[in-house]
Amino acid sequence: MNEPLPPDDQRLAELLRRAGQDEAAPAEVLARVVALRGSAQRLAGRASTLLRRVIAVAMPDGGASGFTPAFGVRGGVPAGQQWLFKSDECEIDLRTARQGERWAVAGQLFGALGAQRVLLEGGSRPLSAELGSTREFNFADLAPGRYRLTVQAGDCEVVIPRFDVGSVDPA
Amino acid sequence: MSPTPAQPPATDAELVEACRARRPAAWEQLVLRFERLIFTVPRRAGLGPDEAADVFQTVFMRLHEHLDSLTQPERVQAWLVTTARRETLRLLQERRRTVPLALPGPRGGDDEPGAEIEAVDPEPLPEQLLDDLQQRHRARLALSGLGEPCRGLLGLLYGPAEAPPYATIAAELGMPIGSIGPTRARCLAKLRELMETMP
Repeated sequence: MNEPLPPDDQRLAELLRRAGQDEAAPAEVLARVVALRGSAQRLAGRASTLLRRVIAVAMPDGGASGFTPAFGVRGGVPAGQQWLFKSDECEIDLRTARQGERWAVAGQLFGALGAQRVLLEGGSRPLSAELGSTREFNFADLAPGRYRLTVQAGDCEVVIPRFDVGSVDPA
Repeated sequence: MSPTPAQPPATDAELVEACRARRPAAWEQLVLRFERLIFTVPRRAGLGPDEAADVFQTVFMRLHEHLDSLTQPERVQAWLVTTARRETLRLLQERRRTVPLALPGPRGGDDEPGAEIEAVDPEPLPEQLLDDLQQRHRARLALSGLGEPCRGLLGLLYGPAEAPPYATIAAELGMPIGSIGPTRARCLAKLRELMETMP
């Protein structure tokens, strides 16, 4: 019924066929990726400015900076590495703990009052956690490796660009 | 179906600039443009849908971070493919470390030395495959820039589903059966032209 095509057209038709067979990303994954920029744009729009990115650095005095964490936050986490990261916007008390072969990262945010979410990247997929009522956050079931933590706070993102879970001290 | 003119899609560089300027929907447009290409890279390397989704999210998260600092916005496709490839290979390497494939040893005993070997594809994403995936991407993009009835006709004839009979196509597109063949030839010529003019 469909008459044969000249060779050039045949090749193009084959290319189109193959192009149509490539898989689309699952809808929920696509939505998450699209929302990524949307949320940043909304935050930026609210502040009428570009998003600022602030790097938090590890403090040499670890957790001895005088703040008082919320009741029960530290007590519930098994012993592991602990650091205090600091920027002009906030301090982040960050801890890692072993859970069998996997690891957990928990922490608490001091300052950056507009913050509601924390993003953790570096594992097999980016993870996001809501800050709790005492501004603590938890990520469980992590593979050992190098991670990056971002706190979104209004027109500002506070970033811990690199820290190691299950191996060495943060760079 | 009333004819509509071909409209070449925005260039990659224009889309990146639109994202940088925070134009509404620009980021969504950029993600949708490269969706299939970037999701297909890990899938073709043998990763499952969940792992491919991880790669997909990571790649676009990286792009989101680096969008304002890309020095060659017109090369965003190459940047995305390279990042997807790198992330895919990282996951494959991770998988090889953790999921050995049990096969019979040299003498058939499971407890023989060498009974567990890794399922290693030495080159899961060769350049030729990546070139082919990018050609497909180019074809999809050009098809999206074709006007009607070409886009509809080529979509029906060469889409993912089996092509329906000419009578069905004629009814669907409101064109005489006899004009389908010549229209198809014109549409393929337009598509080729559009692909050649795309940067």
